Amino acid sequence: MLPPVAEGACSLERLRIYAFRNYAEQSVEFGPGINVVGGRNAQGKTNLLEAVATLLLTRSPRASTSADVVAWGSDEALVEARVVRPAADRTLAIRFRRDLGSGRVTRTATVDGSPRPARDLLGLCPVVLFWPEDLQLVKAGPDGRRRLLDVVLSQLDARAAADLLRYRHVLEQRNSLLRQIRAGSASPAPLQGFTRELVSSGSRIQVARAALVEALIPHGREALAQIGGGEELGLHYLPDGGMERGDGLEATEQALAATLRRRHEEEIARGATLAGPHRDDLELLIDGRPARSAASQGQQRSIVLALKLAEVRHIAARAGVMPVLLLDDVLSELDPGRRHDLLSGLAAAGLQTLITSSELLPGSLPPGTRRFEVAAGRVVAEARA
Amino acid sequence: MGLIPAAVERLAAEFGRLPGIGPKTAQRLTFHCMSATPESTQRLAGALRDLHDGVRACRRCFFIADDELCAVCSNPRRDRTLLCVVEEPLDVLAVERSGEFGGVYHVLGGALSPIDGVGPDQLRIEALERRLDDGEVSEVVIATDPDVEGEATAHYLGERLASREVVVSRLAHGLPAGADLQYADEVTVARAFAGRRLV
Repeated sequence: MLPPVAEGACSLERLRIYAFRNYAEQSVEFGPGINVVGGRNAQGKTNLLEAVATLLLTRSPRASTSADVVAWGSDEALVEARVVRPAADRTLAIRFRRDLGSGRVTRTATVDGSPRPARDLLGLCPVVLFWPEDLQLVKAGPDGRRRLLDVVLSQLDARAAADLLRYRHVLEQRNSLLRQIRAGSASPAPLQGFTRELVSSGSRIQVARAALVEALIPHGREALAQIGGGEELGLHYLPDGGMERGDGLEATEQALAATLRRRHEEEIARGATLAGPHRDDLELLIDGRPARSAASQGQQRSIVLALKLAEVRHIAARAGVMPVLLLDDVLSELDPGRRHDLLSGLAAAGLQTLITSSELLPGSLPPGTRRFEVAAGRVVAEARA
Repeated sequence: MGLIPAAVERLAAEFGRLPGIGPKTAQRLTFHCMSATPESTQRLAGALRDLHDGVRACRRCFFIADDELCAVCSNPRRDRTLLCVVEEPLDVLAVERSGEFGGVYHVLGGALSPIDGVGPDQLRIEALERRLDDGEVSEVVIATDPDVEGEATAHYLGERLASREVVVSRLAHGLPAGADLQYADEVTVARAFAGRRLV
């Protein structure tokens, strides 16, 4: 299912969390292969995976602000992990602190105990997330599909990670200015400077996304074939703002700048930025037809799983190491046969996989799987399956 | 009654409001002050008390001064034809430390930031234009930060000053000198490449 990677896999050896969501203080020793976190609903299974994702991606993929992850009544939260890597093992930590004056929560990151900018953590232990809402990826709005691309990009390409942050920020500034111009409370003169910033980071993002989609296509095809789909998967990047297929950075910049110029009046009337990568989409095709309308429920699940495996393959090919895979409560969506094939494929590829499941998953678990049980914000039991 | 006396709580809370100080550091500073001599805490208190009385903004460039004009503006050896525009007074200190710049400054008091309601009128841009009116300045170096707001402000100033008989330049951003290329982060290296020039 996944080709072996010469350099090996990244894995979390020991996770330590403090005042994160409903966890007071917890240490977990994960195995290098499949780890299943069981327990009843609302006990903290997902929070444990969220802590891992927050550390490896430097921010929570589900919380809207850092304040959300700090346990109620605490001024500080910590996620720390010993990460085994083919190059060199590292201890990564991210700490959230509530400022007493402003009440705002700030993040600080360390690698092996020395302070680093949070962005330095990105890609040290690449991760692929599979969350239940991803199952709607085919039918839901484009933001989930953009996020899929961006999570991969920001872990593999520091420049792209910086551009994504910068773009988000300049978009907020520019939209705010457009609203003020519409309301008559600001002059349009400063707009041009923000437009230039938007175009420069925005077109770099589009060029990077276009290259990523091209790279994902063969991986996605192979993955879908292997998980038993007879159909051919197609990925079609739809950049917003005029970029054409094959355009380089300069052509992309010119196209986006021209589109923004053309829509200037409309932008002011609507008080919003009307072109750029925040409106991109990734079209998913099955046998050449839009999967949104053509794919059955079962096919949609297969497409999403193929996309996730394509992420794993691409990261393995690009970074030279297998990422850690986080599967939150998605196995119950697969029938037992497919579930078994998936888990044994992951185990054979040497991927560390952290899985939450409220079911016991009988008969699906390969040898060497470790099981954990979560109850009321504590990992209460640990046993080999 | 709490575990900690109110006077201690109060000082720790004040320290905790300072930038970069978390609750634990605030407590450590407070306990340090408690174990220090009354004279040294008096000295600290006195320095804090006199800060605002002893400092004002320079009438010309808005850098900090203890008189009408700051030390740069009142120095006759500074080159008055060369003017460096910065966001904050701290930026003046950064440029001064380089020893590279012999001109004078203009402190804008921030950068354009629509989210925070900062437009051109909230910055000291009119004051800058008045300074340029007499024609003594021949070059304006824009040294705003390389972040989104600083870049947008630089672009805006460039346009606003374009009709004047003055050269407007932008500080290049590139590699930190003295640092090995291999230790610079990718973003800095990429920017340095984008801003390369002929040798």
